[in-house]
Amino acid sequence: MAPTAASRARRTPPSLGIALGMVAGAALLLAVTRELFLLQVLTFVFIFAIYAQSWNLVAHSGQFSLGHATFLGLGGYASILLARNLGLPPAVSLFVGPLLPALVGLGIGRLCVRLREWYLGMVTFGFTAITQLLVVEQFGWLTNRWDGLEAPRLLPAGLSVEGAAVGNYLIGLGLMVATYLAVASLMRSRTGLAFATIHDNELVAGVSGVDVRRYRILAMGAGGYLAGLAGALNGHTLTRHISPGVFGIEDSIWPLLYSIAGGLRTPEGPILGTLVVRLFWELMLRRLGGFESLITIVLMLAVIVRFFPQGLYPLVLRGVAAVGARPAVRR
Amino acid sequence: MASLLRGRGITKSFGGLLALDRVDLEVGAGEVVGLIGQNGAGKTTLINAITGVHRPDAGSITFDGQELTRLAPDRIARLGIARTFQIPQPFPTLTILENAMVALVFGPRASGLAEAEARARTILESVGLGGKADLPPDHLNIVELRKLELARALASGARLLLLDEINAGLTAAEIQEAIALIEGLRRQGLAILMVEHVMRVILRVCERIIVLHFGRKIAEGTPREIAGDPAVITAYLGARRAAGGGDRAGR
Repeated sequence: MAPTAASRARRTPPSLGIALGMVAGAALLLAVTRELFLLQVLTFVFIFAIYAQSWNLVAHSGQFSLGHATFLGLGGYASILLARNLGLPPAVSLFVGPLLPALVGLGIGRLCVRLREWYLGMVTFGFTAITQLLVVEQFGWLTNRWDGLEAPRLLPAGLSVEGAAVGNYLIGLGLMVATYLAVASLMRSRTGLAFATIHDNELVAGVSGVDVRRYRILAMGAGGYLAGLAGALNGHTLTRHISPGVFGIEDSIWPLLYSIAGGLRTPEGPILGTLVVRLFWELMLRRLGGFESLITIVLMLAVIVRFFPQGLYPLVLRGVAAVGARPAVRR
Repeated sequence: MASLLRGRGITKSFGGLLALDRVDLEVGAGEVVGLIGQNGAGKTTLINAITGVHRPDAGSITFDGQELTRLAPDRIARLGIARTFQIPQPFPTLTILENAMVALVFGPRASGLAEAEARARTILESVGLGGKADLPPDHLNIVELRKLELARALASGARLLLLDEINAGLTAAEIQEAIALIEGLRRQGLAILMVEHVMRVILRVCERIIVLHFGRKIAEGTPREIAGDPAVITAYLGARRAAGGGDRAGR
């Protein structure tokens, strides 16, 4: 058996090559088609791959979040409010706003530092409901309650519809690739090693000298930032609007589905998973209607987990290895 | 000999069960001390108390003069105390190499990743696991897992090793190897506190033996003194003899 996916993520260096491959593939597609629907779907994939990346990073530290929508929503609200009320350019607020969910992540991480697995899942889940209530009630004067807020656009006004779609596509792509490179190098670093030991066995990690508290809190903070970035990006580009609906259950479940489908605890998995699940959903299932298609997605996940418990990414790796090995075999 | 680890009145109870009852202990720098007692005597609890896994209800434990009882396990590890577990506990999703690297990177040495990798490879070679460095630990059998536990504790650069039954289930030849290894460590100046059921090992390598019985220290002395101590014979060796265990008590 090959080394586990998680450990491979820390040792193989070619993330730069994979990043270039993603950029090349996305650019090639842009050269071939300007089909608006496809560009929008892929922009959505880029943004939610960042979101899934965040969930996966937190999972890499052994923490199971069922409340990631908290971070997604707070990032969106913070960035949009900074842009609307303080006049910050969205290009700036996009990166400043997620500091709020990062802080909230540090707080939740600190508060839940002794909880694991489903207990942690339930508490993080609860935070989403609390956050929604706070946003609607306590901060209703700021957030316009259930009606939500229009989001200033990230791109300059006056672009054609196609120009805006291409612009959003490229911004999403750039940030997804940057996030990928950041997470890949984090996973290979000392910090990534600490996360993995905590994931495997907190007790042994502790007596080996790993500051379990600190690294768990750090993972939640970093996860909060990245999820917030996805939320802000989504608000300023695709939805151009944010409402308390963002704190819904589905938005906490999606990153989990994407990550598991793609390959947990690898930096490539969340991207692959978001792409496959989302394309499947958008191109085939959406026409079925919401409810049945959600069932289909969950069934699809069950099949993946049953037959490819490490997700689709190891499958792709094996495929690439097989193709690479074939010429040598023929000779 | 200057004492490196000093425990005074260590007490710990779980619910109504008094697992440790005012235990005093001392381990000098470079000394090998054995900890024996029947199952449930409190040996592992004592190791857990020293390493911060369980906080004692009362008493004090100092290492090199520093109080440990209020410190988190990772702080204690970084001060220079490493341990093995009775049941080997590798990190299952890390490679064997990475398992050995963890204590180097996060322990008292605080090595960088590249340096830790080189050192960990050397240490794995020295315990005979070099060829499996890049595999996950589920490729190891129980003896190899114990070697990995030991490699991990050695890699940390600790000054005190707490070994919890590293010889359980080993063959005579493997025990011989373990004895040689422990003697080598002592020559390097490491202090060792070892829980051990294999009396042959205890009598051979320990300068001093502490006997626990239902959480209480009932005897302490050289192997010769312990073997002749009436309280020990009644509580431990004698019980085994009466049960027909012969003179190889505890095996």
